[in-house]
Amino acid sequence: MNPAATFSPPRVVPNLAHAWGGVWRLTFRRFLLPGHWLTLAAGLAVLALMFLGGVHGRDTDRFLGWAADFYVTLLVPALAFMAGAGAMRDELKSGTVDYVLTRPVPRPAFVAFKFLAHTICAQLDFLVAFVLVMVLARAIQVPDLATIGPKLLLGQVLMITAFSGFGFLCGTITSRYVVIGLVYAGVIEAGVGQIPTQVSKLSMTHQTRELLGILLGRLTPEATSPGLAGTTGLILAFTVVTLAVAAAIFTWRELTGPADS
Amino acid sequence: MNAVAQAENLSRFYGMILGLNNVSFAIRPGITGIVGPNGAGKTTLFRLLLGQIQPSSGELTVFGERPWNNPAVQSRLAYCPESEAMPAGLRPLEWLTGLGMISGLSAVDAGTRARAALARVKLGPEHWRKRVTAYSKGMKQRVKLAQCLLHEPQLVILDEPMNGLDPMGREDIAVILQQLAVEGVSVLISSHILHDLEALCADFILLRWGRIPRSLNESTSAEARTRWPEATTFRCESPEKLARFLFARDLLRGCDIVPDTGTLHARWREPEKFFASYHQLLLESGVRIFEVQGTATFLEKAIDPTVHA
Repeated sequence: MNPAATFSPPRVVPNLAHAWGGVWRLTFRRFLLPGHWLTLAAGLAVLALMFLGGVHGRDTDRFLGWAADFYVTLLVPALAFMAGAGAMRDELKSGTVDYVLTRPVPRPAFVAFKFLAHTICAQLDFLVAFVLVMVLARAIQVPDLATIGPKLLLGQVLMITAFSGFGFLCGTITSRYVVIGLVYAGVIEAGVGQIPTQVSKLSMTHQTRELLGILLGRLTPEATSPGLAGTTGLILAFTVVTLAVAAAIFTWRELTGPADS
Repeated sequence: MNAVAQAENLSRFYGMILGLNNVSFAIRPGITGIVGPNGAGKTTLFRLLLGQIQPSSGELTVFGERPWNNPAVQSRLAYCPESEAMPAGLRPLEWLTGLGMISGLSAVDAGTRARAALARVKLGPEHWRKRVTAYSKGMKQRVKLAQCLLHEPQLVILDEPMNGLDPMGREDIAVILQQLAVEGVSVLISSHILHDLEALCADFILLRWGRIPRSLNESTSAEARTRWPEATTFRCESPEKLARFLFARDLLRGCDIVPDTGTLHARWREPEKFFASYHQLLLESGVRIFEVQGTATFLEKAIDPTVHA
């Protein structure tokens, strides 16, 4: 070996701010593709059918039940999870492994940048869906949408953030992320989350459902309820923890090429 | 001169599967060819150099540092993979600008360099509106090479960059690689097109079954490359007459004659003896010669000793 050898410094110095810009560009461009908009349009059509099947007439309670218990805390988390995990699996394909991950961006920073870029794009997509829900609600003359809307939107934003992070973690661990997602949904969300004790706070959807219930006047706050700031903090902490674990796994993961993914 | 990459007793196994087995080498500045059959360990070696996988044992340094997960090393490297997989839906300028920014360039610089890199690989602006996934194989090779040039790397690693290129395209790529070498950039290139490699490379690393056999690498040494070919093929008016003439002067160790094509495949007893005065000898033979051809390149012989030598 030749330990005394000296080499000239790199001609382009790595820059994290520029790297974030690059990751954002490459991610955002994919959201502008015609294929993506076609998929979104098809998804919106299905959502409209779900809305019409789940909400009838000028019934505010029925709308709130559908929006808070199904749309925000079941449909959105499931789709955000799938999109997040899929995005991470895409990063383990040749297009990223060979071209992006051979460049001087630390892998934890790459996971963070990718999460930010993906989540911003996902929030924009789901915002379109949310607008559709509001338009449909207005069409069937659900009253007081100006008050209800922001609260539901807050729940949606929190759910997308949390479950995109969880999707990133599962996508980093395995290509069979759906299995982990189903196990998590069965054990934590449908199991532990339904137990009427403090342990149910492990369920992010339970947290959000409770928060929305209180904000929308459907539930009476309990002494132990964490409130808006507490729930937001818990969900953000969940996101940070899942992302940190995803980044740690991704950092130590060997990239042996497309066959590995 | 400092070796840009050095390995000592480097091994890499994938469970029970052999990737590289106890190889030692030094990659010096200039253009180095990596040659070996499929499964020889070329891509494993590239991934080790790129810091995407860790050695199972042994030592590897690139620019004096261990490359595994090391952005300081990656900032000096560029990689052009063999795979044609490219991100869907992106146009070349968008893609290259994004990649340039990830390498550390500002958006403006990345855009400027992306245009310059595409121009350098002769992918004109008329092609920039097309999405890269819609490109032909040759155009993909060019844009793949362009993404290597964005951040002025000091070591460019190219896995089969000549695949899918026509002769003019191969020449274009060869010129760019030679220019890079003149600019002080080290180039590590694998290719199955051995003639191109022979013309391009100053050094070679030959891999077989994850090893670097000493005998193979000696056969590609600079000294070995100056040796005369051990066999020559003549297309001529009368191969039998030429064979008799050469046998009479004790020049041939053996020969094959194909009368239909008028071909004599001559295996030399002492090649230097024939080549020292071959003009004179061929004139003396009185046989009209149409074509003279070395039978196998030194790389072909090194890789597959069963080819005509």
